[in-house]
Amino acid sequence: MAEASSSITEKFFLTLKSSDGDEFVLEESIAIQSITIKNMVEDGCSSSVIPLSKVDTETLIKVIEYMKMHSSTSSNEEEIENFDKKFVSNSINTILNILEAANFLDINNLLELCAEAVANRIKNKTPEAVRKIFNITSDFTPEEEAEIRNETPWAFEGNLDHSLD
Amino acid sequence: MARATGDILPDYLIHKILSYLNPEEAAPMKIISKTWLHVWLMTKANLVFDVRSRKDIRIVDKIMEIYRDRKFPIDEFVFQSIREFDSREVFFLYDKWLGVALQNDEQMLQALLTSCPLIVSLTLEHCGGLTKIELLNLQKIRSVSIGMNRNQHVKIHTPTLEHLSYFGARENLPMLDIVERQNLKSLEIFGERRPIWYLDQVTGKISLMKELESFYNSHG
Repeated sequence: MAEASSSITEKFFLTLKSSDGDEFVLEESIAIQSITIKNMVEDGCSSSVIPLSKVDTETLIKVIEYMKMHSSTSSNEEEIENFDKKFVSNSINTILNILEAANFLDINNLLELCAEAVANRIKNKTPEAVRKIFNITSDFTPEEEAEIRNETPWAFEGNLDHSLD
Repeated sequence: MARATGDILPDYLIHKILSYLNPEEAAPMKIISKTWLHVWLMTKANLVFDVRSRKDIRIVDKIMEIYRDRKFPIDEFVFQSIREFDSREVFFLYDKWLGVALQNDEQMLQALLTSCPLIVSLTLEHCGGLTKIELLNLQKIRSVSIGMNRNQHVKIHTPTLEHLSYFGARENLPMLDIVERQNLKSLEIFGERRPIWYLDQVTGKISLMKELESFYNSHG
């Protein structure tokens, strides 16, 4: 049957729209690594553009790069491994944005990759440095903070790293 | 554009990040912010020991001591063994390990309170494992009842508090520390001995309370 054979080779495309309004056309088979997108496709919400209001253009480009590399057919294991290594060498702010996007898009292996990368970057850093990285202002009073430090003084001793990258 | 604040990171993602750190690497992160402390307390170890020999028991003991000394939170502690050990040898160890596994009740209480800042009424009973109870930053709290069988350090710093019951302090009450009691209307203290010096300390404030009820069931 002509129809059936064409459906095997026919590629479906989805259009993803970033929060900055940029549109990206992507093969459906690649995009559905995102469970969020997969659910939308299955619910028939994908006929038009899929707006990703929580993902900016820079982040979406990275996510798409990742999904293309990890889509099952096109890459071998070694390539993927090298890609991941390079991927996590992005700036920590970029990784944090991707982590949040991976959470929103429900791409589990990307989420795990980024969470591990963030953990490796903040490992052995001073709490002050970690706060700066996350742009957090402490909401502890000095007394509360002193008390927490006193509970486990060892955790705040030793050669902790002050750098922000 | 700068990120607004890292605290917008959902708890789930902070948990994910922390779970890629070993307990020692994760410990400094509890001081980042209250959110991180809360998640740190929830990111706990599951310790499952399958013990085959006496040597294993010593290893378990070493590990439990590390968790005790470093105050690592423990979620689950499982000790299973295919052979029987001399009870005199291991029973006291069981006690010790259970104590370690439960030591983080204190942190659990703090975590619980941090996650319910609008709690109105709080009752703590049979919490003998707690050595320190701190009620801070509870904006709506009106009534607190604490039943104790030993002298825990209790610190209450909640200006809205109206009713406080404290049961079962055995000695005097050197450990009860109430700051900002301007709304305190009733104070019940049940204990075996009259906490004289403590009362001296609060009498100056009694006029601020509409009513002061103290009950001493033996030496009063």
